[in-house]
Amino acid sequence: MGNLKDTAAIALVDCNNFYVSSERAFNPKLAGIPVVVLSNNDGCVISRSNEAKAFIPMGAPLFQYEKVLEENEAEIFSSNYELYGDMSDRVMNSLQSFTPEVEIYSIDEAFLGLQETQKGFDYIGKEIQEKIFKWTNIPVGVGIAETKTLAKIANRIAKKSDKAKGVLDLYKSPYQDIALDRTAIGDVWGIGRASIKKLETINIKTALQFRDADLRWVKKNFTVVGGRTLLELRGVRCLPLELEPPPKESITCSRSFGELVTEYKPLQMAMSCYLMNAVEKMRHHRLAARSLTVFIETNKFQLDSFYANSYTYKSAYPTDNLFELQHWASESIKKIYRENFAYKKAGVILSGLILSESTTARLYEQPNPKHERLNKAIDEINKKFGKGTVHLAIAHMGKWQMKRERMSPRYTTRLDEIMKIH
Amino acid sequence: MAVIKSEISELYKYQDGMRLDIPLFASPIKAGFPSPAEDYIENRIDLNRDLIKNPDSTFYGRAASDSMEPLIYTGSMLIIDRAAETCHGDIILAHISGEFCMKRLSITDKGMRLVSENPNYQPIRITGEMDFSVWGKIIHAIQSF
Repeated sequence: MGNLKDTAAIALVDCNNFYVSSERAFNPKLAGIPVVVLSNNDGCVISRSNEAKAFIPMGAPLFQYEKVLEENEAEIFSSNYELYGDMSDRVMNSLQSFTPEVEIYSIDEAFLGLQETQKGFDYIGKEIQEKIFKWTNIPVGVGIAETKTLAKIANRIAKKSDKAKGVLDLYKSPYQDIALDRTAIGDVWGIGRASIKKLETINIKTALQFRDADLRWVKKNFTVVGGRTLLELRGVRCLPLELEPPPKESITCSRSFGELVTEYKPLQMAMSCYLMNAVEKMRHHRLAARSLTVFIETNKFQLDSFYANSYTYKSAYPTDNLFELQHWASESIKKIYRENFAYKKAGVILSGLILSESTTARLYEQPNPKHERLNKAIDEINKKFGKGTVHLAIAHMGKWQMKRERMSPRYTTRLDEIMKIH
Repeated sequence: MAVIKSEISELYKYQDGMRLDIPLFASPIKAGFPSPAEDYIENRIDLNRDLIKNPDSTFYGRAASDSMEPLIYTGSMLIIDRAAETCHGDIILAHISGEFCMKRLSITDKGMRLVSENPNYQPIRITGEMDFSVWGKIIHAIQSF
């Protein structure tokens, strides 16, 4: 949890049509025309340029809309996650030049804690927008307010309003009421589908009406989560920035999924990737872990179907052996995975870290010297040829047959695919 | 927005990545003399650190034409920094009407032009109605043999 004592405002920075923007960053021909990016296996449309939004809905299956796309001369891309991942890193790193308080919320969104300065938050918002575009070629929208929930609303309006040009500062603003009045209750962060129906029956249709509802009544009918959202709309900070803990105590790797994951296998694959990342980091610092926690959660705000769980595997001895940790992780996921839930987020935490060459660590024999040689070889190869060159088979399972017929070059991660310049 | 140099070097810690370690000697090495070389090793050259100021705004490209020869040969790797400010005389990556090109930027009282080093290519005068923008500044070209 971040120390928010000095943080005056929270900014939500959100990349516009992120996957499409990443494609456009390296292909000026895509400017001003309809562009869409497809999900894994070229199934559905998951990112649309503004031009494409006019005729294609989010999540549209490709086979149904192929003709429409053709008629509108849309450019279609398979998802190029290597490119998007790197562009996301660039954006997130660049954001840290404004404040150390950056919570990476998803691949294309981050919450920032901002200090009050003489420049004013609107000015800082414009600076963020300008700098991110200058450095990375990715357009972003910025919403600023007292709380995360209000910042989300500010961001949403910033993107839609021509006047705001992508930046809206609602921090202690006299326009807050107007903004909330224009925001449908369903567009408020944290209000789930079931809640919308319930609220509409009693004529609460806007964020403003919800904010001004009776807190006790809301808590009674929508639990503590609903009450938290209401307070956040009133400018009371209930959701703090979740900053990563210092790397020395534990190493965490977790992300929100772009699409909800329901099945066991993709969840296990994602977890395996996060574990690879965490272990790489840990080995780099010459640390070994004594316990491993895996956690999964569904969408926090859909109360009717919310499920979150974690399991911590505690070992008698510390290890930095990827194979062993992978085994622990697999065993742990099995214990917490439940069917019929749509998972939003998952992650792994390595804790109980000690230096792998310390006396304590040496007290324990390496269970399998072959493993250690293999681990070292993986480290070496990944160091030499780039992160993730060698994976455990599980981390890549299923991808081997992924359909990606329309993928653009991986401009920033593969030397043989960099931009060609005439 | 003007990016202040000192700000960048403060903000970006060097990240361990691909590394090329070449010992840097403080004084010339004399042949045939048993030099106590180790005493002179001050710091190692690391091209990532020394050539790239801001990894998050740095991109790579490959020269695919002879328009900038003999300055940049076809096949050279280009290191492009989007954060660097560009001015008259800089080598830039521009895009004109949907195409990327590398050119020398010329800004004089006659206006803005994109000039090729190769005399076989005519300079391009930039006019208001052109779809033109500077994508980034080409800060290095690496030629491999």
